[in-house]
Amino acid sequence: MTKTSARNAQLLSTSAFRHALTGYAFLLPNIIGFLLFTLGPILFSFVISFFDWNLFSKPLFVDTANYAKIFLEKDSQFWSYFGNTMFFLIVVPLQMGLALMMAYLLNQGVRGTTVFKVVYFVPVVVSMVSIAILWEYLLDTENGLLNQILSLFGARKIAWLGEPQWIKPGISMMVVWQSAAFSTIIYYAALQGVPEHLYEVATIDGATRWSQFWKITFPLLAPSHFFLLVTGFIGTLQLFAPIYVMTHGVPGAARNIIFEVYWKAYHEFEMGYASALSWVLFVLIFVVSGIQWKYIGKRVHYG
Amino acid sequence: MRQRPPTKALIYFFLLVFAAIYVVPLFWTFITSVKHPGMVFDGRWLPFKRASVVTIDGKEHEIRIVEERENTFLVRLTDTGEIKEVPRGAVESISPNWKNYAETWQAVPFGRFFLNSILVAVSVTIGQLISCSLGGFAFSRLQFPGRDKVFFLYLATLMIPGTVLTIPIYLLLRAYHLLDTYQGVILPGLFSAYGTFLLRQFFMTIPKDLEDAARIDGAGSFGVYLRIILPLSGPALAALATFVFIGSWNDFFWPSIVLTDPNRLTLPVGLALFNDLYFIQYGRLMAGSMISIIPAILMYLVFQKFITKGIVMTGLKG
Repeated sequence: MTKTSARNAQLLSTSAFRHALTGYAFLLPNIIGFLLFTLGPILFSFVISFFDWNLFSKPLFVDTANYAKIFLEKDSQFWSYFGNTMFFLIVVPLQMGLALMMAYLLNQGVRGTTVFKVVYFVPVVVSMVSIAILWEYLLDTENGLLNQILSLFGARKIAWLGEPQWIKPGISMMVVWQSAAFSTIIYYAALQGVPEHLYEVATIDGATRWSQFWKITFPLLAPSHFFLLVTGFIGTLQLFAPIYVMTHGVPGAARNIIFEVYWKAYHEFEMGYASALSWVLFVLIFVVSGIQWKYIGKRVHYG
Repeated sequence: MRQRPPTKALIYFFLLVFAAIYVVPLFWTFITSVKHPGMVFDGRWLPFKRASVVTIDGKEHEIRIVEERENTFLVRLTDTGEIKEVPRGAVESISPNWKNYAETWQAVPFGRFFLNSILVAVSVTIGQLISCSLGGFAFSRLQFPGRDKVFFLYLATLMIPGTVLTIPIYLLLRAYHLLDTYQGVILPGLFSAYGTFLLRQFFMTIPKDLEDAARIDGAGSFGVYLRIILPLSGPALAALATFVFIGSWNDFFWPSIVLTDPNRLTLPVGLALFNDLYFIQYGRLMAGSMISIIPAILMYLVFQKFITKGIVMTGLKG
């Protein structure tokens, strides 16, 4: 009796060991990747944010001086970068609104929808850089398409990429134009899942299209709204390529936090300061996403 | 839903308005890309006829442009064979200037950028398919101690923005002399918690019976992974592959930091460099822009279904 149970226990432990071995063997690539490119970097980045290091000198421990430099130093421009970062968030609701309208129209299923689908969805595969180049020309002061159209309405010529107060709206328009494609695909898929009979009932009850949209369609899309809002904010808080391309990589009026991280790290080689700034951005993203989960995520019901 | 005629007209009207928002800028870029250097800013939408025409002394002559000068064209009248110098304004319409494309293609190693982008995007895609499917298999079909704890820890990393990671990864690559190499761009992209999670979710839906049958036939875990799970996961793997490929193909931040040698640049980084060098030469710039956009559109047309499905799957279920 005792003999067999001991043998069973031994068998069990060797088989548990074997299972663990198999399991972790399958996970090995992910574990290596995680250690090298996630856990290691995040610890390292936190540590060097307390150092002064320009890559060539010996790292010098400076306590929280880098963080103090961001928030407390008199000529710190952090709040201007912060303001710009927040400004670009306007892109998210705008592109979602545009996407929702396009998806709604596609979902009406009129003839020729396939063609319109191609037109609306294509920007999703085009690189932001190509689009930024195209838009730099659209926004040209003298000959740009946008100013030509505006001048039809008697507006003055705006230097979209020249005047400091117009550069952010200019870049935002382009990002809305590009990112709406992704959201349209998400909304369109969600709309296709809305059961037809809900509308039939509403039509019998005499509801107008307008009230059908706001009372049935819009609330049923809640999971998509929430997904696009959260991922849109996370992405937009780290908006880089459009700003870089449209300002030719020169720090200017559109500079946001991530651009400053880029500039400090790879042009001025202030690795400690740049890391501290990237942690500030991390915390900002974390807080913004947390607020969204808390106040909006709770109200979303998944059907 | 069946639409009544007035509603239908309204739907078409708005469909066209939104289509115009996308098509008009592209069309305008195309037109600009085939304009002659001095005519880029003439504001014309359809400046082309099959042949160019110039009016001299009230008579219209068909011409061919021999040479472009600063404010004039040197032209050969096709009817008389005469060569004349006329002001640019006198030339009423002009044939498309395809030279912009040839010149841009020669001045900028676009072909090279393409190959670089293909190399990077294909490597990253294959790498992620392997690492994510192995991980997803372990998290969904194998039983071992600590599995779920490891899984949630891994999932939590999705919240970390890339920004915090880039500086240490840059320093790591620098330490191993991998800056300005393809490996430097590819390596950090080979793993993804997102993709692992996506495939785990899909693998969970595959019935256990099939796996049991294979195991009775003597298959080990790797055999089950290779012969049962992978073949049954075609759609999920294709969705992940298209999603990863597009992301890698269009990635800008990371390759722009790692790569410096013009011969190794990926398409977006090369294009940005080209934009910095040629800015103001709009005809060429727009030609370069078209050269980069057209393959993307073709790629979309060919893989349409996978792309939209991939986005919906990776997006909503993620």
